[in-house]
Amino acid sequence: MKQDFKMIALVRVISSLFILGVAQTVLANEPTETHIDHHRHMGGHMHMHMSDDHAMDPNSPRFANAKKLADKACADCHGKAGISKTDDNPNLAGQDALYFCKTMYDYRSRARNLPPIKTNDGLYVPNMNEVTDKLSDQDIVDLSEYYAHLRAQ
Amino acid sequence: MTERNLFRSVVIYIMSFVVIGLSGCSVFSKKTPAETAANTAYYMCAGCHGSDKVRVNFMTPNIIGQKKGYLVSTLKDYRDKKRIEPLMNGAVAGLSDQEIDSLADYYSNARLDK
Repeated sequence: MKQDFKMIALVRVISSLFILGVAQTVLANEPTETHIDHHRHMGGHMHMHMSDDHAMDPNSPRFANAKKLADKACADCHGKAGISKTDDNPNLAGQDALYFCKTMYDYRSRARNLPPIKTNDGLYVPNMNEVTDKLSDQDIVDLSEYYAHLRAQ
Repeated sequence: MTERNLFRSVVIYIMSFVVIGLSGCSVFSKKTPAETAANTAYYMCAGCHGSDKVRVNFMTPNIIGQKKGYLVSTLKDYRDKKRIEPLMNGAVAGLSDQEIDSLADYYSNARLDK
């Protein structure tokens, strides 16, 4: 009789430990995701959406300049709305404006180089270095805000 | 007989600890490439590139929803030091082709919550 009690107690201990172990594995495999209210967390002054910071007035001359440039120089490869049709060309819509500027300056100054591109049909596609040669500093800033703006729509 | 039972229960007791210890090991919890990519994204990328909930904008490119082919070629360029950006070169130095592929898959399919 005494033996039985001992066994029951043991089984209980073992089974509870086992449950603990299972719980541990389940929790360890759960993708860790912490939901933090970042706006409150950072004092409410942090702007998370680039488009909020760089809201561009669609009627402004800078917007018109950017749109003209974008349709002429960028749209063929990166899409009219900044979403490119091919997998190899990056989307531009919603791109961080500062990063966009940096990339354009890097291409223009040859800090970043792209090899010449030729399609299978033998067509010559200007690479980014050649495209950015024609852009002024102001053009680049306008374009960066134009593409950051596209995300908001 | 009693001793035998006691011995058996002690063995079971010790074995249970072994099982619990092993069950916590990452070696035995098999993760799919997609899960690994989500983990990598959370621990390695999200701090600078933001998650689907939060956009951070300190000159880091937005890669959520970016084209997969572009992400793969960019990550490989960073890894093979064809494109020099000290932070990124270090961050992706240890990634295999398979990991780069699943990571690019993860980000190209992700969408910003708004």
